[in-house]
Amino acid sequence: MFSDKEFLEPFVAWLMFASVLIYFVLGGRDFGSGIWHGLLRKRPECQKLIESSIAPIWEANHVWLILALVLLFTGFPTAFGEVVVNLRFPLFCFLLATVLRGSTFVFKLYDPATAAWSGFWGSLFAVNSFFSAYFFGVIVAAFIQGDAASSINVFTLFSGFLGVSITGFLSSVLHALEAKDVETKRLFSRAAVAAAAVVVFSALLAGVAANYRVSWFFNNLLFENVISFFANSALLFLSIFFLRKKKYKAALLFAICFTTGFALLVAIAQSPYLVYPGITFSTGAAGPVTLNVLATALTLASPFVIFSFYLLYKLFKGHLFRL
Amino acid sequence: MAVFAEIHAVRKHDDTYLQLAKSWSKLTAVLFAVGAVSGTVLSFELGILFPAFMKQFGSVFGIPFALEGFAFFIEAIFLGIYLYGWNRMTRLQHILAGAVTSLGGLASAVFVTTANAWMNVPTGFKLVGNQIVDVDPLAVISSPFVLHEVLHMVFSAYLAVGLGVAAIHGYAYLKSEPGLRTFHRKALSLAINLAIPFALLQPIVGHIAGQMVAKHQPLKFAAMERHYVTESGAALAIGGIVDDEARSLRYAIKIPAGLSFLATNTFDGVVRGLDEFPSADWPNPIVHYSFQLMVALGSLIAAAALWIGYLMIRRKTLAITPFFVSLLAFSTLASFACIELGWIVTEVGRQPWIVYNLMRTVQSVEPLPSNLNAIFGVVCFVYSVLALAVIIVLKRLLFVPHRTVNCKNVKGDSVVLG
Repeated sequence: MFSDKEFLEPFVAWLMFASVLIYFVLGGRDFGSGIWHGLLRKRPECQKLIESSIAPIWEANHVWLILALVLLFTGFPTAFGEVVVNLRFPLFCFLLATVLRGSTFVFKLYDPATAAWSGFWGSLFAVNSFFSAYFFGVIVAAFIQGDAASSINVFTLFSGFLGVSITGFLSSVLHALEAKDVETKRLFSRAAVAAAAVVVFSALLAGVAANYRVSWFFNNLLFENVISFFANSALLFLSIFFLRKKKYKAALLFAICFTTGFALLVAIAQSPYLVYPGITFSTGAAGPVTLNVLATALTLASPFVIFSFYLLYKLFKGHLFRL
Repeated sequence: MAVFAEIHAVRKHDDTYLQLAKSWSKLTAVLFAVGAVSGTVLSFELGILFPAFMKQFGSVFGIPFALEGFAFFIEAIFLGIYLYGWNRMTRLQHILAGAVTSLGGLASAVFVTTANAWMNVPTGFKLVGNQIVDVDPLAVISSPFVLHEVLHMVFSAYLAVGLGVAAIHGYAYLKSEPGLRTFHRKALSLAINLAIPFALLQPIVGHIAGQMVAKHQPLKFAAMERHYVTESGAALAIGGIVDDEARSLRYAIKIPAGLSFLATNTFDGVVRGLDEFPSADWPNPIVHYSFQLMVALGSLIAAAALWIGYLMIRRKTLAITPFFVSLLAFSTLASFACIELGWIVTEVGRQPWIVYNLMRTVQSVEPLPSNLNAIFGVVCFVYSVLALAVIIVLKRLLFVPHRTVNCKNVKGDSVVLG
């Protein structure tokens, strides 16, 4: 279906980015919800809300990560081989945390045992949600850092907190919209403001560390697109503004736009490198036939996947957006 | 199986089956969640543990995986709809969602096994120097090993689950008060009806698989039988202890020309022996033991299935006795053991190659993580604990009385089901 190498390499790379992004917004939101589930352990009604909010959709959200991964190792095998060796430690921690959070979440939901057990599964779920979000941030930062430098340093560690706070922010805005009563809505709005403060704080820390560790990236991110960067940051404040005005749908919309925009700016600053400085889209890519297969399969299959996703979200989240 | 139960509920206007579908879907929810997150581990581990393999072959090996990704998407999306949509759609829509979930699961299994088939008989590309060229995606996913490997794996999975569910409900039947017995009886017969055909078909598929291995992977075949010398009219050895020094199987029962017949359909067919290959490349003898044990257990399961099938045809109702339940329990354990043994045969039997005749496993793991033992230890520990937790939760789900749930019955009225 596609044959132009010039088109295919960035196309598949951007598809891969898109699935990481969707994973971060949807799956990351599930991590954030897990963290709030732990922080709000004195409020069973909030925990119930969180559980029913993520139960039907979290597994489907999780598949975006698997898709991104498959695209990476099929479309860019050299980059995958290179990167994964450097990222062994944070990857391993991330995997452990996601396995445990997923498992303990279903145990929490389905185990018909005593309250003590339920609390035990719940706290494991919360702790591992935190580490999933944290190591997701670490992995993205280490990926940006590229080369053989250690994957654990100030830049990656601060980026981990950025991962945690953004997911926490997204989920609290959504729960503020989903909550039925005024008090819970107010509670999650306050949570969102707190999370947004942490987002700003950890972004500053990660930024300073980035300037020191990966100055090429920091320059690209901040100075090449200075207007977009600040415009995007304004979205965060707009989201908070609408939360205060009790316009929850608008707040959620801006929260999602902020996250998407931020990820997009990061990706633009990173391109065309896959692994800095050695591997770019074109040097890391598989042969044109494989890329063509991937691009064709994605183009043909995505209408089905997107339609199925639409059905899923319409069924379980549709009521939020009905006028 | 939950979907079958729900279809039964509608066809027979029987709420018991609906209750069964709900009970089974809860088990699915728990198992799928643990399995799905473990699937992520799998795809990462490919890179963490086998970076050189992925660098070299990722662009080919990834093709079945990309397809699996889509199948998995469909499965996960519709499972969400199925598990949490009981009261949000019509019964027919709900059954359809369940059916799509099962098909997605089936397709996932097919593509993952296809990836393994490709490792056994790599097809669909050319290797020029170190470069992969001329990738033909259709050829990649139609390696000659695909058909029998997929059937063998999928049948074994359905068989093991069918038997397991039957055994659990058999046990519950014996323990439960009379009021609940109909429920467990219906569950048991539905499960066993699904399992029996696979138990009977599996040996046939297994035989075809053996012949394909003999044709494409003579070293693995020789290792499975621990057959040392290339000869025509080779004898089939049953049992025996591997003695590589003396190049013989001690204490084995030999059936003259049996192996030649099984491998080639003729009594004087040539079976290639281990002596054609350097002895350093011989797979571990565990391949032989696993293979023999798998065949023995598989035959026992098939025999048990025949007997149960005969009983069901002769009598209208099955007598669920302690002996019968023990037989089911034994067959369940045996069938799960067979799955693992079969994977040992195909994976250890392929050694020393990760991609048959193209890349050795030793080359694929470069560079090896320095703390491999620690990683391995942590993974083993976490999964042991997780396995224990899954067993505890499933046991509670099965044997603690269900909380009552509001639900629409088959006629669409709201009822409370236990």
